[in-house]
Amino acid sequence: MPSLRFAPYRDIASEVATRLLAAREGRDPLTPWEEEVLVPSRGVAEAIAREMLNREPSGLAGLQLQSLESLAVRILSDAGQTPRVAEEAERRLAMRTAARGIDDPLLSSRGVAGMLERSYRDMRDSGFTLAQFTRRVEEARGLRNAPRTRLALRAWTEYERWISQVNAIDPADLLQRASRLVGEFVRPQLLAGFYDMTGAQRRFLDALLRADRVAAIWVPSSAPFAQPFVQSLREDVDADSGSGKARDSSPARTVTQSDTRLEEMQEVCSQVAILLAAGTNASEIGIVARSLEPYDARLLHRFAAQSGFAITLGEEIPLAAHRIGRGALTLLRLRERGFPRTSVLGLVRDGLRTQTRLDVDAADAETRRARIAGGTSEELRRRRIRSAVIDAYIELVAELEILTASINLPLLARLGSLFRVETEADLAAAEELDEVAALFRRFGTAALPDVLDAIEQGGIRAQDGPGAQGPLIWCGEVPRFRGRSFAHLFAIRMQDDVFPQRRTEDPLLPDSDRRILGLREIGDGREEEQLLFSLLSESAGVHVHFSFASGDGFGKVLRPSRFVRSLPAEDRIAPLAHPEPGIHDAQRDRQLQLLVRAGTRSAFDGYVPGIDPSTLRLSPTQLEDFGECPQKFLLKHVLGVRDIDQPEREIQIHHRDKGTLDHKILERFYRSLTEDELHAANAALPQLPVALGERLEEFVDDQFDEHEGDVPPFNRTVRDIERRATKRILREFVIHDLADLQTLDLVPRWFEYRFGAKHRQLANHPEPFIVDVDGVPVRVEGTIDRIDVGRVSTNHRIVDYKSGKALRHANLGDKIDRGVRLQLALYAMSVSSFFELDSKDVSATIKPLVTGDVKPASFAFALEEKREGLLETLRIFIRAITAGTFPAFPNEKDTEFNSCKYCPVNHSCRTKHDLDERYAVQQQKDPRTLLGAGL
Amino acid sequence: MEQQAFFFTSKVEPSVTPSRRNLVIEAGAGTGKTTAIVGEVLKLMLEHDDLALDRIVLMTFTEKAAGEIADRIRVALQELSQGLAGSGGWPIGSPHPLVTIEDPERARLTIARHLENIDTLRSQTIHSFCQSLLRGFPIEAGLDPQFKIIEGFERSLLYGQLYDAWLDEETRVLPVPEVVAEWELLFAHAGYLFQIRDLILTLLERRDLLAETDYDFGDFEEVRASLMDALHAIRRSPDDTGDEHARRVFAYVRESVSVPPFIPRSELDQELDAVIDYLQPIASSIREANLPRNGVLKEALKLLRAGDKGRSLYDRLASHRAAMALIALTRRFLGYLDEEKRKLGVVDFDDLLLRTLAVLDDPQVLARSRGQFDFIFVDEFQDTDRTQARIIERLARDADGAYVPGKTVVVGDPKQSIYGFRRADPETYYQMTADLERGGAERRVIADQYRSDPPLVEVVNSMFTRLFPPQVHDPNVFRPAYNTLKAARTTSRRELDARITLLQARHDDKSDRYFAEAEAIAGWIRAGRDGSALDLQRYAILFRRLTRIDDYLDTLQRHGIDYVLPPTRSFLDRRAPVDLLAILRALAYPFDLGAQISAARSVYFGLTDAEVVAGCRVPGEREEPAPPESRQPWLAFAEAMTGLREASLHLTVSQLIDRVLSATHIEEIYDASTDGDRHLSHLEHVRAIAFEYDQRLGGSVQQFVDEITRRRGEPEEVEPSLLDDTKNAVRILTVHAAKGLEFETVILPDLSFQTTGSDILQLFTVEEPRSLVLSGRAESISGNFRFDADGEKLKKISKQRDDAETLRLFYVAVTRAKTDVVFVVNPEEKKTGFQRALLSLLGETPLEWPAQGRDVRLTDIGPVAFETVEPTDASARDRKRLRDPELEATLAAGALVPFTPEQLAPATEVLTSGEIASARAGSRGKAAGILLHRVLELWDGKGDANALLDQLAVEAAADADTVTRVRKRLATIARSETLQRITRAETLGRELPIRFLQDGLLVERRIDRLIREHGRNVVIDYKSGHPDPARIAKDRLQLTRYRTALTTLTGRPCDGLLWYVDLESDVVVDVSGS
Ligand code: SF4
Repeated sequence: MPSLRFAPYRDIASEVATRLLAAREGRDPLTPWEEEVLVPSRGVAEAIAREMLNREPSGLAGLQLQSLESLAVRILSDAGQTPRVAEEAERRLAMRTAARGIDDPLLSSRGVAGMLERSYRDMRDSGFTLAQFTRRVEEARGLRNAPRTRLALRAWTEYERWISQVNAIDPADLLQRASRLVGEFVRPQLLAGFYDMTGAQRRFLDALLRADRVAAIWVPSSAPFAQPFVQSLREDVDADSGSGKARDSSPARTVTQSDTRLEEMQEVCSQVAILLAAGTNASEIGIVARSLEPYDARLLHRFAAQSGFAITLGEEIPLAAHRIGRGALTLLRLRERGFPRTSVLGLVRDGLRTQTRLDVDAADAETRRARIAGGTSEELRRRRIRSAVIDAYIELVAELEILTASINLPLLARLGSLFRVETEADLAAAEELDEVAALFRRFGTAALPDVLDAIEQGGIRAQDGPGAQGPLIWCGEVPRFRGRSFAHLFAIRMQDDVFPQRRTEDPLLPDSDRRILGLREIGDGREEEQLLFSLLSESAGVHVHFSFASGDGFGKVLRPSRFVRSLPAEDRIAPLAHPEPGIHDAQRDRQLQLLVRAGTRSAFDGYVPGIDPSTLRLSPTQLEDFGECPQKFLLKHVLGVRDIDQPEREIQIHHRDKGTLDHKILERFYRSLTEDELHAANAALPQLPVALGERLEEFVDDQFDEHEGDVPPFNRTVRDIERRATKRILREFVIHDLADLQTLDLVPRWFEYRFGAKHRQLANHPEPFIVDVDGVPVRVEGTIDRIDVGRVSTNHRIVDYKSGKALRHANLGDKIDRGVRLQLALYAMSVSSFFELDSKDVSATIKPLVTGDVKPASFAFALEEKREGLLETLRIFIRAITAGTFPAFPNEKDTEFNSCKYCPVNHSCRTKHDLDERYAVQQQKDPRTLLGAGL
Repeated sequence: MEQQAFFFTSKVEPSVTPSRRNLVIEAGAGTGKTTAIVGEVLKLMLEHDDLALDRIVLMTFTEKAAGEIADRIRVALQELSQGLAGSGGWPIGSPHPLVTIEDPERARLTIARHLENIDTLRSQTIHSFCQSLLRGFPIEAGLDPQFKIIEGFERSLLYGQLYDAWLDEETRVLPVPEVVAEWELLFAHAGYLFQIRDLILTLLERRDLLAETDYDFGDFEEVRASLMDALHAIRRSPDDTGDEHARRVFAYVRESVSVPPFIPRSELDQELDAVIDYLQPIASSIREANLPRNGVLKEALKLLRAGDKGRSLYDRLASHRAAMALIALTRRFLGYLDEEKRKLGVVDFDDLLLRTLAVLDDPQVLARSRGQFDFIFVDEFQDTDRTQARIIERLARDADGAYVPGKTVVVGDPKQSIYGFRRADPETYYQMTADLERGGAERRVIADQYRSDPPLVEVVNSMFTRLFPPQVHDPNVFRPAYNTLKAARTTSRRELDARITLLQARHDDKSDRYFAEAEAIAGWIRAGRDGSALDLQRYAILFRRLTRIDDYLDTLQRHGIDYVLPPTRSFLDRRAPVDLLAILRALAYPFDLGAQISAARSVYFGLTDAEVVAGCRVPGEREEPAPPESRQPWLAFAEAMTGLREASLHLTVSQLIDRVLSATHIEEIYDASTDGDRHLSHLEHVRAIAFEYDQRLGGSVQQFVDEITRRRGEPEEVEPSLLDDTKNAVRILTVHAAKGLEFETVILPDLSFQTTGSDILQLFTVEEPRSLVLSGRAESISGNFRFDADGEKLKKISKQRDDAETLRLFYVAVTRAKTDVVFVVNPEEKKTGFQRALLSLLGETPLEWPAQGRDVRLTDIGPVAFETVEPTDASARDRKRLRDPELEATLAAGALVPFTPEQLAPATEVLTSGEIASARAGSRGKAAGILLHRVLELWDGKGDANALLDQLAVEAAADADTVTRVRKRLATIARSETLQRITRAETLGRELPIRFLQDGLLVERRIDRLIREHGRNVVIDYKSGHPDPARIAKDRLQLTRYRTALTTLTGRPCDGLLWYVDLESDVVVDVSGS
């Protein structure tokens, strides 16, 4: 009968080592070992090996330190059986396929395969075969939801069919088969460090015990959770000859509370660094947590590197986050998503090898400008406006269409080789894709959702970043920690809900069902967690440093684990300063100089060497940009910064295009009106005569058709909705406008009145309007939407259409005085000059095309009132340009002037986003006062 | 105290506590709600020594509260067990203990037992309660069994993406005419798709109401009669008075051929369309017309206006029609969202509640859930929303629908219900507590206030008896009456001439308002400092919004007053994230010049604008080109960016960020600045987001930049975190976040601020007449054409509720104080918000301040001090930027330091094409190599190797190609001399494990085969394929290690063979000798 001893892990390692080495005293180191060791974890195996090597430093050969499963494989192998145990990915795929094969809505969600797998595993691990279990279910009374349980049975049957179809067996079968073969030929085993087993493992152990193949047993704890296991062995062992007590010198235990999780990691790494610096051996230090999230691992790696050491914890990057994995997913989804532009170009960026040669950045820029959101090559070829780059893009799409014509096994097999491979990580990613392909080859199918899922599940080991050098510290989660011990242990993330870990009930086989069916219950896990905690606490030789954080750092409160509540507190230590000594002094000073000077009218605030205004072509719109924000002017009109379009976001017609469309329609419509028609229309108010209504609609159709040739819609429905909406809006506008003309006794006379050299022969007035500003001639050129003229009076009114409600233009008069609206006032001046009109006969108005409860007066002004102020504004602006003064002036209110709304750098403008800088300029109401004050 | 009201039998079976009553505790501010709830739990525990604590559930609204209550119960038990001999109850030393102990001996045992199991007591937020319930019944709830909770950025990212996908599906992929018609209606109303998106996403936050079936939005039926009356009146009236617009309307109505209704009543929808079309031509005339004098026409026009001038019935009806389209589309989106989320296996916090409520419809689930708990305690019950209240209610009742006696205890203060924006409504509180009382619950009011100095309690009482007068119950707007508080403290912490101070903050220009207030506060605090170590901890400045606090912070800083602040929400719009995003954008969009310039100008590089202009301005025709050296900085910047861009090809987003940060040493730069901590913590937040992004989505840098840009404005819903309570600093927080906290002096600025709820859209229920009301950008008929008992339009109720909530917020704000309250007043400000409440209390008291100093006057609410602080020089903002003032002075004064960015080392090693090719080939051949090893492990060298191969091919799941290769290699082996040599020798081990220590590290390896030949040990290493010199060198190194290990182990020399087996031939490399 084997003996059974209770001893902490440290003692187990030492006792096992003693026993093994004693038996070999004086024998050839290559002779086979009399006994082998069964361990529950790698940690225990390593602890034993280490202990033996400490005593026998010349090395060990041939010693088997193995898991129950490895022993089972060897037993089978010795008996000439070499079954294949299904891999995790295979089991997952088999369960997915099985669940999908059963047409029931209950089984359609993503996690259902996982749930089925978990219950199946528990069922098999409990030692049942599916047939046995099915019988139990059939006989059972009072199951929570018997039909659902039967549904699960069906899925499992299907699962087992898949597993056998791919010539594999379930892991539980391995132990079962081996149990049957256990015999004399198996060497005596030392069972070291188990305190619990699954039913299947327990049966295997039973077989070993029956065959008298277990020589001794060590159990690391006599805590309540270990009792069922120990009790079950009672009959077969020479009971308890050990102490089961913790060692005399129990380690110090303290707890540190950090403010945030980040600080916790940082502080722990600093503490480790301090220990290392004090001469502690790296193998004496360990970092453990009940469980670690990927981000914890990231932070630990980062701070370990900063503190000059490395950790053993592996870090995985999801395959989907590596360009090759991402590229594979994009490629597989390309067709069903309709070849979106971003995906097509994304593939090229991700390194897809294509025949078509394409400069991806140029293609990105040009397809954006051409407002291509996506589409097949055939759809794209219908476009009227094309270029070499766009043609290349279309060719690329055609190539991709062929490549993705069908998602099948051959395509999968090639997937890993379709992308450029350049680094170790790329190699790993390509290999991972090869493995996915091999998996599906075995199953003989490749359903797209399954393939996507398999790729999404994949991961590659993160390459160590720079600085990941220095001594290596063990770091991991509690399950891997089992059996290890260190002098200094840092037990981190001691948070509520992390340690103790909460068990969740199995919804498919809840504990009440498990009780009925004789399956192991899940319970609340309290005893097991308690055991894990005490094993952890006693596994340090000198000191266990527990730590937790009181918040996640982003506003979420975290609670401490109950295990550490009553421990004495340890002082926090300040994290080590950034160790990088490398910063280049001069460059740092430059960067700091920006911090110090920005917002003080410095070299960082838009103050540059003066620019000769006569070298610029100043249109009213440009001057208006200057008036809103001088820096915006500098960027757009001096340096040539343009907006970047996002065609995929622009399901509606781009606002600039829409403006042009509206203008063209209205121009044509008003031009077409005869005097008679105007009369008739006035008489028909508030309705529009049918013929005119039809004409307006016809013009809308014409313009939309034309636009479609240039920019075919990616979303046809929305384009049609917009077309109809335009008809309705313009119709309402026209009615409103006609009533307004009638009230003011005005007649539209000029349409799209062009002036200035840039219009050449098309111009109504080829000369620009020139304003002399302090000797600098400012040339005003432009196009006036419409000029209305009094029926009887000499009144001229400039009209400017704006799509939408044009809130930014409300209180126009006031805004002209403030210099933030200039365009219309300059037009008014031009008209007064071209037509030789007195200022008091010239007025102007903005007409928002969306009528509604707007007050027309707030969109209009009379030139006479504005003229002097306007000239003063121009003087201020021209002087500022000459002096090179282009401060940024953020404003984001629509009711104000919202300079930032259409600014191409509004996402990253420094002044807009920095308190100090913003404050420094916003002390003034608008740029005009700012510049005026500065001059 | 009414403890006697509770009576427990000594031995209680769970669920059977017939003599216990349910309890509604109303506890005013500062009376210790938490203490009350802890007291109730303790009583329960003490009187039942066999009570299983896991049958108690304590529900709170924040994680923090959940932790606190659990801690307090545990500490109370410990205190009790230690102090049993001494005092007779709990709270220890209290003159009015909530819990008394009669039999200390028995109590000791009971407490010990409970302390042992205290961790099984469930103290959790209602959300985590729902989560655990759903985890038990995911299938019944129609959820993925492994559902994951998404919140914050992740949630808004997903919803944004799903919205886009849904829009695409509805309009482009599978357009259905009826649905497209709804889109069109809404488009016509909103004008832009992005606005529709805003509307739908706003409504989503009230999806609890969208599921209501007992309430309705109203329909055209309710308007028809009055419309018809108006039209008929106009047609009948011969009079033609009124202005031009009115006449246009009348003429139209009289001349039109027909008058509604055009359509049978059964087709209301079409009728509504017809009426809208009918009214459309005169809509603007109706808006602009003045009412005529003629009484009949006046009334008719009024009806057509349906409101004041500027309105029209047309607008109202069109708005209703759009509103209904909006509701329909939102419901469709919800359906889509639920289905997609189910497929993805995710839920958000709202889902947790709604799904829980829905799953409780399942009788089995309901019965099991009810059976799980015997006692439910709910803290801060006034913060419950409808869904939460219904969940609690369901659990509190038995199978017959009656409240289980003694099961439920709710504690709350309806006057502190301030979470309207999170859907809490006091109407729900009222209904449920009234219902509980009808079901037999006891109502208990706690009046003893421990927080404030007695004179302050007195002032608070006189303020709020006025602001919360008893009134007739309004079913639509619950206005709880005030219960007078009783000062439980006997002494004051401070002797003051007045507990209320009105601090004058007059200013001339409107834009200086916040600045003036901040100056007054800073001056006042400065004057009140006593120089002690924690003299600033006394003050808390409570804001209603944090969006305007910059001016205050700046001013405090200038006055040298430290402050602590909770994390602000829209941090993505702050400097550090914006700067980082500028760099990422420039990397992702090389063709975006604006992005390049922003990156160059950012603190990561620090180019001056002159350098930028020199670098990228294309000179005009008549201009001299810039001298080449002036372009240097720009070119150096561009080169650095190219380096980073190349590196980015091999990095994930978060790795790229790490790379950018370290390459530019930006952390060190921020660290040097005075507000560096904040920048660094923002940066950490972005890094965390990027990491999550890699983990969950793995998109490109371009996608990441786009997504962040899109989500920038969206605030994150987070619990206010714990303030750093050790620092000597003024506390700054919102009134909402201050709930549950207390401070000595509470300072209230920005008094006239008034919330308007969501200005986009509001959806709410009204009890009488029972309606759902949509108001804002789209308005339902119920809001405009239904009226409450006072004749107000129902849409106004939301405003009334807002006003009532403002008063409650005012109550919460004022009652945070222990000693005194300071109002920062500018009498010229609008009489809205807190200002309105405050002024109404002052009644006749004139608002006059001394030119300087403090003047105490007796007012209706007691003595009030009017105080003016001496203005300081409020000139330019002059803040220190760097932690090191000397360095700052040098950098500010000296010349510009030249721009010299660091050259970047490559991020990742790029392999040669030869290396890649051989690695790829190696990886493809790996399976064959492993299989060959396995065969050689088991093969005795004589038997049928091919049969063994076939068997092992199954084990390895090898494909045909692999098997063929191995078969060929086996043939090579069979022919090989080396095989003969090996079989002749004695085999000591196959796949032999060896272990040794190397530099203190444990090394474990397996030796393919160890033989003894001519008395010498020989290690054999099988290799597949053909060797090349590089490969041999590598393999030789490895084999030498094994040999060394074996030599050390045995003390005898050991030889080695590298046996390369290829398809046709083999090569043996002897690795012997030293
Ligand atoms: S974002 Fe605003 S402040 Fe910045 S440059 Fe553009 S317009 Fe000016």
